[in-house]
Amino acid sequence: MNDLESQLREALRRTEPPPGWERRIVKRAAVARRARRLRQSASAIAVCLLLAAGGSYWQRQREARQARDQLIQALQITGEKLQVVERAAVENLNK
Amino acid sequence: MKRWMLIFAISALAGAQDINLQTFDALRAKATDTVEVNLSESMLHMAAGFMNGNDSKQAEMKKLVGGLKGVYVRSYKFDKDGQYSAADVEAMRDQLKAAGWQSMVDVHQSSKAKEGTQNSGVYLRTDGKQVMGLVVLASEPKQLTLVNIAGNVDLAQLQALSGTLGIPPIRMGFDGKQAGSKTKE
Repeated sequence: MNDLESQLREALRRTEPPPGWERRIVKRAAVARRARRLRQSASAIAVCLLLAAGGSYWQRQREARQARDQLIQALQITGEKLQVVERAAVENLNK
Repeated sequence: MKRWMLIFAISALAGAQDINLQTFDALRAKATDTVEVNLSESMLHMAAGFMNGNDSKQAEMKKLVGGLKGVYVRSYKFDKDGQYSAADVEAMRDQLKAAGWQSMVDVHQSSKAKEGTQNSGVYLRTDGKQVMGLVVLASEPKQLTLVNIAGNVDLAQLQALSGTLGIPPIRMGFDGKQAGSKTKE
């Protein structure tokens, strides 16, 4: 019994932390906090970059679609007006 | 510096466009319907990038676009006759002649000029072997249109596109790539 008591006492004996322990803990916490902030910043930058790239891609797609539609419209007008010229030429020949 | 950049940009645009389309600018105010298309080489490449290569017609268009330097359209519709003068059309014809464009089809109907009838033409620019530009000038009573396709225009490919994508049948009076005179007044 005495043996057990002495073992418990020994185990529960208050021990002083090693010198500099508190400083190390505070420093470690600060490093962890900095790392967390860095991760958050990196995530925010990544999201911004993704949004910018997505917006730019969407804008380019929109411009390309508009350019394609304009090209088709230009070719439609070309076809129509070639017909107009052809008709006029044929009319002139048949006079 | 900005001025030089502006001069460079204007001269680059003029070089690509080859024709001064500002001749028709004054007509814009009188027109009830206006279509103006300005597609530079970079915009044409952008458009080509958006075309579906698996679709045969779009693939054909992509090939056609590959050689082009620009596509410019000015089309003005008016609600009544006489909104533009013969001088407007002649100024454009003179410009084309002065720039060395060859007339492929040229239709003058001077007897009906007062009624504002046809005064149209098709003009080509070649380097001896290939067509390097096509201009269609169509003057109708209530409509004036100019189409300028600059660059290496493959007329056979242009013809192949007709009848699709809303493009009406195009008959250029030739079978292959060799363009020739069709009719002349």
